[in-house]
Amino acid sequence: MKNESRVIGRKVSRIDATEKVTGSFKYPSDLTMPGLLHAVVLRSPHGHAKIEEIESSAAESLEGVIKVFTAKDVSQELFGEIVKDTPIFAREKVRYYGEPVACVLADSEDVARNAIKKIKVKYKTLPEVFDPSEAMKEEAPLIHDNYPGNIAVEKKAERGDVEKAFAECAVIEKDTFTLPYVHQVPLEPNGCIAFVDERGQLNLYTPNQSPAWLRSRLAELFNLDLFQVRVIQIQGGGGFGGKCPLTIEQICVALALDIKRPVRLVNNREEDFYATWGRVPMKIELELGADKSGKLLAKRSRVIADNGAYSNIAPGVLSTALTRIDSLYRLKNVENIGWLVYTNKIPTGMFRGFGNPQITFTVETLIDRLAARLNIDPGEMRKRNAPCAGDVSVHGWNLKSCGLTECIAICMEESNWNWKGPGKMEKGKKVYRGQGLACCIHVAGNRGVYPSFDGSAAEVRIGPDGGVKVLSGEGEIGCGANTTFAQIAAEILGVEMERIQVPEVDSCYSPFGLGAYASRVTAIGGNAVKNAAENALEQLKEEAACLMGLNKEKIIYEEGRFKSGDKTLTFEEVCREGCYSKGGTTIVGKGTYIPQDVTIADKETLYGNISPSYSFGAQLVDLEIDVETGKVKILDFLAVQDLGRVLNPLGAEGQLEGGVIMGIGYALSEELVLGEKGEVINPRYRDYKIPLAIDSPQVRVKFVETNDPVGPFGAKSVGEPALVPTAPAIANAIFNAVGIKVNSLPITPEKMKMELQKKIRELEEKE
Amino acid sequence: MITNCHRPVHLEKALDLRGADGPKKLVVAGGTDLMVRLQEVDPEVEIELLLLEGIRELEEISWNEKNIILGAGVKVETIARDEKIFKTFPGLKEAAEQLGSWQVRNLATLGGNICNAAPSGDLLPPLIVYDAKLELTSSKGNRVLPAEDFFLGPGMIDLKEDELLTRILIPLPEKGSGSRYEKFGIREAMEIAIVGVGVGVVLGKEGKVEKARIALGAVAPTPIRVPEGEKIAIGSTLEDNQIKEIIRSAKETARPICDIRSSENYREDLVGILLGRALKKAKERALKKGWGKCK
Amino acid sequence: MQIKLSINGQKKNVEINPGDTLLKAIRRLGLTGTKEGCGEGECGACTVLLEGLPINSCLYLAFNAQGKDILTIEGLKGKNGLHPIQQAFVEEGAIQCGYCTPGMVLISKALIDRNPHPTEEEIRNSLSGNLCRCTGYVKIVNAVKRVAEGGKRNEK
Repeated sequence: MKNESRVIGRKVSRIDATEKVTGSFKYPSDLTMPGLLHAVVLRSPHGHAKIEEIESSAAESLEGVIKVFTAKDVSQELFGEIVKDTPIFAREKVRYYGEPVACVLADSEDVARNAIKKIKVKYKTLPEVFDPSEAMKEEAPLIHDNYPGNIAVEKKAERGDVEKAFAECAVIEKDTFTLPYVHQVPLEPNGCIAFVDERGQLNLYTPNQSPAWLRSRLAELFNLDLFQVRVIQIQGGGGFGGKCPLTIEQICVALALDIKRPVRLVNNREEDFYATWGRVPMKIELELGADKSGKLLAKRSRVIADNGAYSNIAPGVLSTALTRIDSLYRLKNVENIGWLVYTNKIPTGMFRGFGNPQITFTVETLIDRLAARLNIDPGEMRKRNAPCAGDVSVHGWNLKSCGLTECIAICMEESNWNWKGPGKMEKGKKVYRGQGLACCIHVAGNRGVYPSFDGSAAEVRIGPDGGVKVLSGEGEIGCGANTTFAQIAAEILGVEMERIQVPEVDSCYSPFGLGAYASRVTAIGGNAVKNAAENALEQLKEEAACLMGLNKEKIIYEEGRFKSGDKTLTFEEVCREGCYSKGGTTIVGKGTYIPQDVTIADKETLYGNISPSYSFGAQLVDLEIDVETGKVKILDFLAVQDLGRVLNPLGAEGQLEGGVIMGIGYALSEELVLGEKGEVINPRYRDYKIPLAIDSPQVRVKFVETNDPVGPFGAKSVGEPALVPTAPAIANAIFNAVGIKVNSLPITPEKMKMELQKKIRELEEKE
Repeated sequence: MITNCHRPVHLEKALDLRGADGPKKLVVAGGTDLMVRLQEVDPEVEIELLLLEGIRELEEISWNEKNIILGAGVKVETIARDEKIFKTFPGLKEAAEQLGSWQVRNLATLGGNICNAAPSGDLLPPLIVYDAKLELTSSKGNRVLPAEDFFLGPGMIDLKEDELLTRILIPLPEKGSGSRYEKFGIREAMEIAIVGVGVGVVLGKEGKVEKARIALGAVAPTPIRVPEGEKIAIGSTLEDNQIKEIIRSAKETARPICDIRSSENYREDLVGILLGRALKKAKERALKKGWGKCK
Repeated sequence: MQIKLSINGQKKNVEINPGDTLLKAIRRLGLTGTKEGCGEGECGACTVLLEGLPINSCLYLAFNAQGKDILTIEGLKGKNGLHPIQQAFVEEGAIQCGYCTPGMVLISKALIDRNPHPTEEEIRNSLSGNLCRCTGYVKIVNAVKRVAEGGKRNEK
């Protein structure tokens, strides 16, 4: 099948590349319209405080200020994905430094920014709690009245008999891990424009990753009919999960509904750290045991996840951390318990990988420690535990395709893998070199985030001009989904890419799709597009048959021509004549995809096959440690992904390469640092350190194509899993180099130096 | 709020504006530090700007038998790419090329980096090591100050209200000179130095240190010398055990703080590491140049 | 106050406040290809070429830009099509969300203009004032290498 593809599997430039490379592409923050007003949010300067009084007359009297909004001016409903606990503006009290308290609407952004400084708010501070473990104690201040112990959610996933299994283990390793708060820091901060048109319809221009989901949340929050809410997705400058939850849209919409003029709300860089929410920090106690052959027998985890002040999407992140990794290997006995705990800090949200990077870090590092004790090569040990296609995992995940073993093998073969056990430090040695390997599993469309339906619909419209439009509700957030959809349509229809347009998602005309999260777009959205293109082609065949006066079964379509015997019609001819013969109508190919055998995980047990397919990956890093400074330098990085089928090498490679670099940032340098009140100490690129070009290796990537039976042309997911194994691979390489057991991130040079000094002291004491 | 921009073409006019009565004018050279700081200023405060960009007299570089003379307006990128500067004052070039990014270096000026007087300012330790002299000019006249005396505290300099820093004079190195600038940051570019170390030595005929200057950045409110360390260096041949002593002295002299970038212990540790590396490299360079090989 | 700026070979009048940055002025003229990513010279998304040299337009006063030639991303494309660097970015897959792309393309152009055959290290060094969160820089470096090598890279 692969060799016959014209477009699938070929290097195809993005369909929006030319617009972007010439600067003509308009991002959300580039948009303007007549009469546009600008909103800037006033945020709380306290972590926990009662609001006693808000005095805004000084702000309101400034020239150019239209209105100052507070809680009393907007809907009183609370919102949240699973736990509805968030107000649009803080009411009686604020629960985190940075919580929206008021908003100025003015005729320019500069005026609005000046005006918020003039709003006087009287606070009475309340006791604060920042550490989740402290927040769970009885004496801790209560952040939300109806959540005793500050526990938003408690979940469990238990299978088999861990006690018995641990008793059978030859080796057990245990550690407590600290995973930090990191932020997406997309190049373009979040922003949107909302307005109510003359017909009373709410319109929102937004980069939000899930236009359909956003639409339903806004309709519910503001008590509007769904058909009165129009959402138009404008591709933003990066999202990575930060532009999916409701974070600023509700404020922009509240103002627009009130003032009946267009409202623009765009974060500046500093605000984006408060206004969009990063990765859920976790403290994870993990215990992992294996028999003497290296077979993993038992896993026990206790996860304390930091919710921040409001719940948002974090309950789903906790579920992921309690289950996902267990299906990476053939584990049968697991006991995972977790708590999502409120703290007086910025709410935590969804960030590429969801809860998977956190838990994968813990398991993948303990595997290497087990391997060291058993004196088994960590790559071989992983292969021994790897699942196969056809396996059903401990949580009921149906692994219809699985290339994990191959991924690991490729990593080992192509990297001069030479494992000799954990590193030992030697006196006087200044530089140490190490290699480390880690793996991951990920979903390709996780059922259960949107309550009622998880499928996708698409249309492939072909007009008399022979132009093809692919309409999908999934949207494009920068990963290349639109190009993938165009490729799929081009492949099925046998036409060139230039003929195909993929309009932006507009709820006015786009079919249903839930958007870019849980790595669903290729597998679920792609399948709908494929079905729609096939449907369109069938209709064209019928037209051709009509035009040729033949039965449809006698028509062959190849190389852009409908043929039967010596009769031939081109694609363009069939489009034109076929449409005109029916009054000028458009061919509308319709396709849907509803993942089969997929279920929302059971609320209590978290059991269930939640995704139509699962992708796997392995990554291997070669690094060097400077003992004097503690700095880690990546020398070589190889990432291998089983993504089912490579639809576009440029796109797939780009996702994997970018994910690895993001993973390196997670491992070595990124952390949102909060001060005594929960304020962000480093809300700027200068001190929130993402890798630069000079810091980044020229990542090598390879793919394993297992041709999944579910995804379009066999494709699964690559976007999110790309960064999941990276940090543990680095930690394992450090263990390999110097024998240090990393259990917290980021591994900054200072942290590394402290650990190295401990090791050196141990060495000196022994002598 | 900026209410007015003055953009004189000639230095004389700039000095007149600087010394004139009336509203205070903030001096802007490259703007790479100032433009960021101005964002924090209350918009109700009215500020006028005195823009020095484009004043030719401030952008000149000249060499004579004794000195290099750099205008305060010379761009950091120019210094980073000048071959002759690299051969003569390698530490200055090393500092310049590690400052910011290429875009920033095309705007940032030597004088701006000096007058910004950040404790971590990259160019400052090398200037001190090379015994640079700063020419401070007003309409009334000139005075010259050694670089290390110019810095009074973080962002505080010995510059009078009617003065501008106009030229920087650096004496040409002697025979047997070797120097180096070492910087540490988490990433390999775009970093404010966690620690910066400048070293300059002059080695005599037997490879013995005749002169030594050590300057540390980011470990005190201003860049600082290490007088005791320099004394220890003099007369030594910079063997490992001697370097160890110099390092001990430097660590005692440094007064690092704890901030978002580092703890004080780590900074102190890095002083030792970077100083050791800088001394070794400076020695290596000095030996290469050696007697008879230098101009 | 009104000033005249020379952008992409054209003279344009623009209304500014004295303290406005060049970035603000450029975007006020509707040239939105130059982006604001941080406003502090840390991300490079606002990069323009000033007399051929790359600078952060968010750190530069519009007032100072008078009388100087400014090249923004919109001015790079020639009458006959994309500049070779733009073409290389498109074909190498060096663009994902694209927000960093204008800055990356301009800094790459400035690099090749100064040094037609940079090494990978020189490329990475020059690009270090431009942040990218999507691509991991790999294909951006490939695109610049391709232009540096003067032609098509080997197709895989």
